[in-house]
Amino acid sequence: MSITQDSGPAAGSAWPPPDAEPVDPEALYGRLADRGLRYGPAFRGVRRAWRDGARMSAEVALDAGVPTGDFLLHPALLDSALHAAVVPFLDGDDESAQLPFAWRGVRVHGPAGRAVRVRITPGDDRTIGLELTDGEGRPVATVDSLVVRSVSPEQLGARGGRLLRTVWRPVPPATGRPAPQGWALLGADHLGLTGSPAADRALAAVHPTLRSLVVALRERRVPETVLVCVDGSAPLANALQRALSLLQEWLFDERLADGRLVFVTRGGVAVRPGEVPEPAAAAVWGLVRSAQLEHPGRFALVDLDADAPWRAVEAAAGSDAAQLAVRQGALLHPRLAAAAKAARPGWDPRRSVLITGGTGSLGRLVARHLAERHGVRHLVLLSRRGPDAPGARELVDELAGFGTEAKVVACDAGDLAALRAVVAALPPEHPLGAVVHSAGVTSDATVGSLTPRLLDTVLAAKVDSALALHRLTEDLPDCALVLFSSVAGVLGSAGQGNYAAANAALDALAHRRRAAGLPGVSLAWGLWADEDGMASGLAAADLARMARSGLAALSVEQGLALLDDALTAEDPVLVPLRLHEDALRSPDAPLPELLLDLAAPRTRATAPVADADAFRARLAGRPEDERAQEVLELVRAQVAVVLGFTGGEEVEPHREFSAIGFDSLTNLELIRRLTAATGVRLPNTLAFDHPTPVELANSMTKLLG
Amino acid sequence: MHTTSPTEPDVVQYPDDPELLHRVLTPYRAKNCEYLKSAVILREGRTPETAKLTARCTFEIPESCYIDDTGHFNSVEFNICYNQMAYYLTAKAVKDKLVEPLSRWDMADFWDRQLGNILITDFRSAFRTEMRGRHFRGEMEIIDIAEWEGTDLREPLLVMRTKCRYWDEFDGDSFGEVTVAITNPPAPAAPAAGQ
Ligand SMILES: NC(=O)c1ccc[n+]([C@@H]2O[C@H](COP(=O)([O-])OP(=O)(O)OC[C@H]3O[C@@H](n4cnc5c(N)ncnc54)[C@H](OP(=O)(O)O)[C@@H]3O)[C@@H](O)[C@H]2O)c1
Repeated sequence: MSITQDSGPAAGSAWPPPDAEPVDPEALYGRLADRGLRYGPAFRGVRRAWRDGARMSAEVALDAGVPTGDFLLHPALLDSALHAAVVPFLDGDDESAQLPFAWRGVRVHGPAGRAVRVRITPGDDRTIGLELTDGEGRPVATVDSLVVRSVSPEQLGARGGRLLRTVWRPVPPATGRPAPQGWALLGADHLGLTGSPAADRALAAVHPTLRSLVVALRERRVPETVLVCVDGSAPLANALQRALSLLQEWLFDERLADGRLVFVTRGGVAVRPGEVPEPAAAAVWGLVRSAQLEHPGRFALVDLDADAPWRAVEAAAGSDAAQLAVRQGALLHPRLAAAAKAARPGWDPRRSVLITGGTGSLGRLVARHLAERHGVRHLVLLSRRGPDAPGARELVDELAGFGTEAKVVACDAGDLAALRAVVAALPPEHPLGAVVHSAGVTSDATVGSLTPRLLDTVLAAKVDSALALHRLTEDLPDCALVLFSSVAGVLGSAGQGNYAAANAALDALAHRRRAAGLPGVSLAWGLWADEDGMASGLAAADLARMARSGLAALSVEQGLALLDDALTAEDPVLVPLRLHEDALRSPDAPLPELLLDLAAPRTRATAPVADADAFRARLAGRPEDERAQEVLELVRAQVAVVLGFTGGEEVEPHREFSAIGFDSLTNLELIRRLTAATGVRLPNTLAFDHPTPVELANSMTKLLG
Repeated sequence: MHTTSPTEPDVVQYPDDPELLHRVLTPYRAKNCEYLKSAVILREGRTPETAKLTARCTFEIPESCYIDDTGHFNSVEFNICYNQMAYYLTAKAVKDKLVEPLSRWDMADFWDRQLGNILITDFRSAFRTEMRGRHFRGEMEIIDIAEWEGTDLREPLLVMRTKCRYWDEFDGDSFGEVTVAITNPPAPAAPAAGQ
């Protein structure tokens, strides 16, 4: 558009326009947001508005934090005028947004200052004219004609994300499972489970150490269920290491293959409003959830409240649920549900925002978003590499283009002294208003091969630094701490037990802050479809697995829209993500239990058993070579599913698994699927010992007898 | 995720250390099964925290120490050769402070534990093609060494995951994955004052 300056017509009719209906600016921005146009407070320039049929009038002003600069007419003022201008176009009941498209005859007559009045008159066929005057009615600018176009929310890319929260729903009463019998307790009784007559009757053994359990195994006293207490007051790293060593022990000893290990916690999860989980116990939940995904049916989690621990354990014994909480004798299990939005203050553009991991993928996106949409003018972007991070300088330049000054600092987010120095160096007129903790690393391994070091690496970047940031902001009661965690903590994540644990601990920390009256929230993000973020290392097999389990990736627009929504919601932990809507609708997709309330009703999981029976029946009585062929087809088909290929014919029978992209995780999934499809428990090492589809199929054919 | 070091890590070679090898193999001498003849250690990565160690070894089995000549390299010999590589690699890592946490041990810590506290906990071997030569080569690589602290459930423990492979000039080839536990590890040093 080209803009000319002249002295302009003399305007001067009555203000506010007589006979026009006042329009509430809040409501106006609400309507725009519904159509995917979300403006931060600094950009919500409409102060008052009136409507008279298709005519709009409004007073718009610049936010106090925005300098006018050299502009005759600040672009943000013109932009705000348009927020009011499109209102009559929103009347249709489609969900489109309305955006300015083609301008004609734009003239600026005099300096606008910080506020203007706007009159908007309809022209022909989706055009409008605008007349801007100052507070005295002197002309500021006119627009002869502006074409307004309708844009669907899909085109804006802002829809499709969901903002969820974990809720705990009552579990239907147990279906006749007997009270616990032949159970064993392993390790120290941190929660006081033993000591009652009922407990003594039910507990066949108490094994203070692993060695004593192994002795029992040697004597063929294999317990059906082993309980182990988690000490939530232990240092987080120790509690996690202990849980990991137990998981590994359990997976390692074949004699335990039919047994179940139950981790019992108190305060591991926040079930009722106001409950404050212990980060150490929460982290164990995150780790064990991941182990459950890798090895279904072998591990369970039960969280108790303060009263009668053994009675609660007995109640939980009646359920096969993998994750349970017992509250006042009632059983509850976790489900994701939509989070309610509320009105909470957003970003204060006058104050500084510190973003850890600010030079990383999401950190950059958030920085840009805060500058562009929320008018935040002072950013500190922190990462270990700081200014040496690739693209750091370009980012600073780009932010400067929005009028935002960004300082890139090389600093470990876990170094409290260094953090304090960073905050002390902020200009006093722009004190710290919020911290976004987006620093993080992944260091993936299956539960069977995680090590204490791999736990510590991920904990350091995510949890140690979150604790340091919490301490940094403890004395700043109006400084929000926005923690970026991951849905991995909520659902568990196969191959990422350490990462899931760290994120679950972050979520617990957000609860603790709220309980202490400090502002903050943990956002347990689903995957973002950004090119160079954490998700960028995902192989096709990972994406295929995700899609099967109901998860999809967020576009950048969806993610940022959810960020804005999330900061208005009440819950201390929110789960912003995109779901794979087709998988939700398909009655037999293997969805995580937590998603079941959001999905179409499921068919009961008896089907696989029937299929396995049918498969074995098909094999029975056939000649050896036909049987082997049938099993080979099964192997190839399952390999294809695991790697995300379209079909078994794409799988070459003689290529080694490692050459087509198998790793320890995909290996486990293959064995799990083949076990489900045949009904015969196959050893986890089978694909190591028989490293091609043909060799694996031959050995399975023998095992299937 | 970004990897911190885009450049190829440095590789440093530690030549064969006959004196150390001699001492490490002492327990085998009387039984006449000193199979490991030489070992060169390669260290990738600059610091003991990030180092990866590989041992490149030569072997000779003039005559099996427990069975009449079977004409091929069998799983018992696989295991004995593995033990000798593992002892040497561990001892060398302690002596030259090559990798954490062994770099924090001294030689007395090693000699005290060599026989009683270093145990194989998981052993898998696969024989692709028969090895028939008396002379052959072997390689062992430490994938990681995990330091587990003691809990109510078990004593502190080091767990070393390794891979190994043997081959000879007649295309013989076998490989394996072995996990070694080291019980009763020396207590971690107290943190330096002021930390
Ligand atoms: N991307 C996704 O799809 C996704 C999904 C769910 C959750 N999340 C969460 O969102 C956050 C950001 O993810 P991303 O995809 O943007 O990852 P990313 O691109 O790898 O960025 C992470 C940033 O953290 C920095 N960092 C790591 N350790 C640090 C430490 N100790 N102190 C200071 N900075 C540190 C890294 O820079 P240096 O290496 O220079 O320190 C890097 O800039 C993570 O916490 C992740 O868990 C992401």
